[in-house]
Amino acid sequence: MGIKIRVNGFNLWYGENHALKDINMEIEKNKVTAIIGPSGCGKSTFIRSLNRMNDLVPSCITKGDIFFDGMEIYEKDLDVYTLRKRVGMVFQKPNPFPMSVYDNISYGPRIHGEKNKKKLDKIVEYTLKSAALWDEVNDRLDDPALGLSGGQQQRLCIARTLTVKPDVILFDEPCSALDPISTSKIEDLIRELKERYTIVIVTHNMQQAARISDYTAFFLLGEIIEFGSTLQIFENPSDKRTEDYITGKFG
Amino acid sequence: MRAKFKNIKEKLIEDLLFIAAISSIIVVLFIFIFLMKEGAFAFLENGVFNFIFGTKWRMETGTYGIAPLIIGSSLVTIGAVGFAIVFGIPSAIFLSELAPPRIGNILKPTVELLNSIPSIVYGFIGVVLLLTSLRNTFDMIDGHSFLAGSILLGVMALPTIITISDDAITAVPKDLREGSMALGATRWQTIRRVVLPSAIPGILTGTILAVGRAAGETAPIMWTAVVFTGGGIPHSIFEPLELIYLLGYKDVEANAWGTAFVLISLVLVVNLIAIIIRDKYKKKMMW
Repeated sequence: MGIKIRVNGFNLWYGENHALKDINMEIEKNKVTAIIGPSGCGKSTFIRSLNRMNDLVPSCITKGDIFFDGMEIYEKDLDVYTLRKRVGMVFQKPNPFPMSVYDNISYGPRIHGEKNKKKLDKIVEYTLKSAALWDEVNDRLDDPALGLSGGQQQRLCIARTLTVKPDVILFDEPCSALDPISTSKIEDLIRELKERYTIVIVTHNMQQAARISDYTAFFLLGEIIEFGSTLQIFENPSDKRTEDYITGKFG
Repeated sequence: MRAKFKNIKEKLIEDLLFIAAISSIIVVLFIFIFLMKEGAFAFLENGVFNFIFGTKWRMETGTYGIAPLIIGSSLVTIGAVGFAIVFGIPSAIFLSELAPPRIGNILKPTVELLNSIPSIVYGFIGVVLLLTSLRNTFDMIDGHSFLAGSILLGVMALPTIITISDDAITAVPKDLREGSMALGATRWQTIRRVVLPSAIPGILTGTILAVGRAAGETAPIMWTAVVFTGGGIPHSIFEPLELIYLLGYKDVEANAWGTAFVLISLVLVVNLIAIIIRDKYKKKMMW
């Protein structure tokens, strides 16, 4: 038990648009925290704040604090590259680079200075095994990653994230482009990964949140409406809007 | 009835589009066959080997070899494309990745505008500015040289390479950049290791078109890089070249046709090789 990420009165604007309003939240270590809510409620914006991917949007302004292991990540002289190493991200659409499987996986360590071929080989094998992909691709590491199936590509992207030894992995609707079988493989994987990593997952799929997460936050129009244990949110929501959403009255 | 009419209309449109697509191929083919027919005499009379690899062009003795012309044309094309790549790719990277929108919105149309300046204007500027400054800097007699030709043609090929590479780089999906940044890569690492390799097929297309432009220009090169006869094969970048286009001025007409045939074959082969490399790369990465 322990708090990995603490969000304190966090606000975010894209230009005039107040996208996140006074967010307070604690993300627990080695647990899966799910973020649910209708489209445009700020879920993606929120997890992109946790590794400062929103910095890439020029008009983005923030107020408030996010602490990662007690370190304020919006501090001016924070090394954002190290932060992103420690807070990895898997995206909605599988986005392997147009390179070989091997080059995709070894990309992260290489940009951070690892040149030793033996070490890279080891990292490739270890992370592909961790992402439950090794058995399917170990005989075609030199083949293009774009030749893999969608589900394999997504697991490849998970493996790629693991290579730089993150503490936290952010999943931004990782299964929305995948078929049910690939989806269940990714869900199994997430359950395994939480042993070693802290996981935050944005999902459109309520069943998915219920299946894999320990905590759930319900976002609406840039605000957290309710945050608690997944069991409580789904069985006994305290806010009417949460109940309406999870029972499918709107969405 | 109406369905039938619709089908006829569909078919008609398809046929028209097919004709449009095939017509350019037919034109190229006709030119090729025509040159082959007219130039055959040059090959028969001089011998294929002697004609292509001969270094002497002497009316008196009746020996006609076009090696210096082929080498001259190839050199100036390589020089120009090299120049255009060295200056063009960094410009394209700046425009697509780094330029703030306000600056990009001014620079991009300006670069495109460069493409519509008639080549004769470039030739004139080349003579007035380029040759003069080369003469002053390198103590040359008149400045006509491989170097001058390469720079001028390179400048002319720049807009093509910049515009097409810029489009190719911009077209690299945002997902890939984010994937790289999310691993803790810097912007430059992302550009160099993910964006540029992903844009290579497009950049190669730009280069192919630039080669076409550089190899095909006449006016500017005549004024800045060329001697009409007896230039031979140059020994340094400061020496002038003989070029394939000069055949129009030379004596036996069939030799001119033969040379034109060699020129068009060369351009085709170079383009074909570039296209094959590009498609192989794309296929290898399934990109």
